[in-house]
Amino acid sequence: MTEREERPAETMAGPARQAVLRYEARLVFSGRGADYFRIWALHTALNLLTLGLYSPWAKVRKMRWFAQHTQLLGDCFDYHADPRRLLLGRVLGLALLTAYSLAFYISEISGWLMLVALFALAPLLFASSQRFRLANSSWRGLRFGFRMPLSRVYLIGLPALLLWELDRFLEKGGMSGDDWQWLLLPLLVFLGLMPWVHARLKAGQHRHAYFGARRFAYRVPVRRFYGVYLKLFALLVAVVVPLLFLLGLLTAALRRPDAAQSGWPAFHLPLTLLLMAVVWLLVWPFFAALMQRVVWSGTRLGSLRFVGELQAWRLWRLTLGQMLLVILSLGLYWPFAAVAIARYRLQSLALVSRRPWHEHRFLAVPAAGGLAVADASADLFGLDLGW
Amino acid sequence: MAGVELPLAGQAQWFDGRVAQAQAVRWCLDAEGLSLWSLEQESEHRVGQRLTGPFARAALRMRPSLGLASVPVDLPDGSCLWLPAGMNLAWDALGHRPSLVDRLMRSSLAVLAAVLLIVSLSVWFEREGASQLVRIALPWLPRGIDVRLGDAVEAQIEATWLRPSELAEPRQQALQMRFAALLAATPGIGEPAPRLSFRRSAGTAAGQGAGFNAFALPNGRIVLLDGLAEALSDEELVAVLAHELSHVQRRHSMAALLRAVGLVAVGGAVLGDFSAVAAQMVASLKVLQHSRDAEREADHDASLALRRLGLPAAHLVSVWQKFADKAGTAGGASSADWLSTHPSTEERLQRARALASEEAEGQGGAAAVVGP
Repeated sequence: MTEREERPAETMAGPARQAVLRYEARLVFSGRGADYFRIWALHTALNLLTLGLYSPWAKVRKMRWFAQHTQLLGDCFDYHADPRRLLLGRVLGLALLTAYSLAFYISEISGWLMLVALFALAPLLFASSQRFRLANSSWRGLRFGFRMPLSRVYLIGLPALLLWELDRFLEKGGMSGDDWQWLLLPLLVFLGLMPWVHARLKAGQHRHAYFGARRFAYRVPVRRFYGVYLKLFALLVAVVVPLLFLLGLLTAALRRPDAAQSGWPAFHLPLTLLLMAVVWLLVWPFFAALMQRVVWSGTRLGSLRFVGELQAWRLWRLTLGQMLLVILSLGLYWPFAAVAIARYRLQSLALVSRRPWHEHRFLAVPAAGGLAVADASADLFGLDLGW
Repeated sequence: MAGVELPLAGQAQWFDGRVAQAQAVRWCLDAEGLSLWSLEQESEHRVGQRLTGPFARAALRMRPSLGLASVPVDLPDGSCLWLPAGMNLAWDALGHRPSLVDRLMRSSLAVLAAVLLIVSLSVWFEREGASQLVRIALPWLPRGIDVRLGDAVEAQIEATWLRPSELAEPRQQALQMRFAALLAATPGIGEPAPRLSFRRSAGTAAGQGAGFNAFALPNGRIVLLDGLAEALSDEELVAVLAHELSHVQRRHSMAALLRAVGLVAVGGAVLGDFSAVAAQMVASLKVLQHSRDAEREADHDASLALRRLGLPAAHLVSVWQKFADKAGTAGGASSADWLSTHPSTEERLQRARALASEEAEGQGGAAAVVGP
């Protein structure tokens, strides 16, 4: 605990000019790009040489490096995952993904069976990966945790899955065609429900998270998600329309007489991907900043409040500048960019308390079976879906 | 641990795992192992109270991280001791040997070697590695997979964008005979024998000769669309069919699929840390480049087939001329070369012209030898 963080910030409240004590602390990221470059270079080389088998070990070391360089009140976070569990999770995840993408090609029945399996498994996997990530993270020697009742897992997971598979259901139900209403209707349903589903997922993530035995609290009205998505939509329109116009001009200028081969849908794929990358780069920082402020400002831990202070414009300028350097350096600047962006994102999360920090006592979950600390990760599936 | 004298002691920060609070402790490593002692009572009792331990050295786990001021040591009771970094003596005493990768990370030479390895492996894979790996792997893949894949695609496109042909029956038969002659003249035709079928593209109304194209599926089926069949002469269509036959024989689809798998894997290894989406994008751009190379290969095979059948290469020139004319009138969209599955028609036209003039010169030379 440093002097600076312990000093209360005095604010005047009310006509009585009564000083209200307010303690503020911020996440601090101390990692250097040069260090991460070393980690990244060796990990990438080893991943290439081992055909990806090394990646769980790489991921654990990377996560640990980021966690151990993230400090709060002078003490750092830590990451404890076992790479062998990650490897198992990845093999399982890959098998499921392969089965999922092939099932409908094999037969209609196997396709539907796979879909049922997906609906049964995916919410569990989502909860499991949350649990894995949090249970393997710690601060000041105390583990985080994630405990969500099974009924909540499905209540939150199933609507998200239904929305994700919406087009398949419409198609299999014979409700599809080239008519505009069959294109517009699913899109409208999707856009209309997406913020709601996202709000529920976030609420589930934050409400069932623990630090030691203390549970996080979360309260954000769903309409604020609709607000963020509305802004996102407006921004998308503002970005995509001029971009498409520009693209139209470009193709007109580049017109070459080989249009005869453009019948294959694959022809447009790379162009679409490129367009998506540009749009993502232009829009993502705004979305991330808005989301961080909405989500974290509604999160509490005991009497601790969180304040998201990510600024859309700053994140946008930073991301664009860093990505430009990444492209100019043919990718070699990436580790520096990753650190710069992570630093800004982490450092714009603040904690606010009305009591001095040392009065907050966070205790571990009472342990069973003689161990001083309950091994939260013992019962885990070991699945981490984030690659 | 040779050269380290026990007991060894020092101060460090300790988290007991029960409460989120740091405690300054005194650690001591002796023959029994590592124990932690409290600092607070030391002045009164000379010796502080033992907080935890002793733990055998083998049960301790150090987890160093690059650029960190202290090193966490996990103790068997779930608590964690943070030793100041740079205490080599303590490290040795604890019996900790940093993993090979952790040691390599501290060596600039190793990092430089890693960067060079990444760059050279990516460049090699991009230039020839992918093609070589595909060449090695392709014979191991049974033809049956091509056929099954082709059947699946065939069912899909028959249902969605193909309709029965409206080409006159005699013309169809004439072209089938040409195709049979082409097959007979082509060495190494495998099982199942390639089949030619006539179709109309579904997008346009009947009678408009829809679909100015032809394509081959990996199961050996070659589809000629009415639009192309009506616009081209029989000889020109032989050139087109020879091109498509080359795709089937050389298993270009399967090679592309293998290459895509390899590219996604390599792209994922190099770019995965940044973004899986970026990796996917780079991979798909590379797949397209190889697709253009495959087209060039098929064009070359088509010219060889024409020669075997005794047809002049000029037919290939007129095929590409017609494609160019068609595109000019249709005014369809075009795009940069690196975004395209096929080489540009101009390039193919030029190549065919060069071939035709070469052939003409060659014949002239032959005539000069034979003639008077």
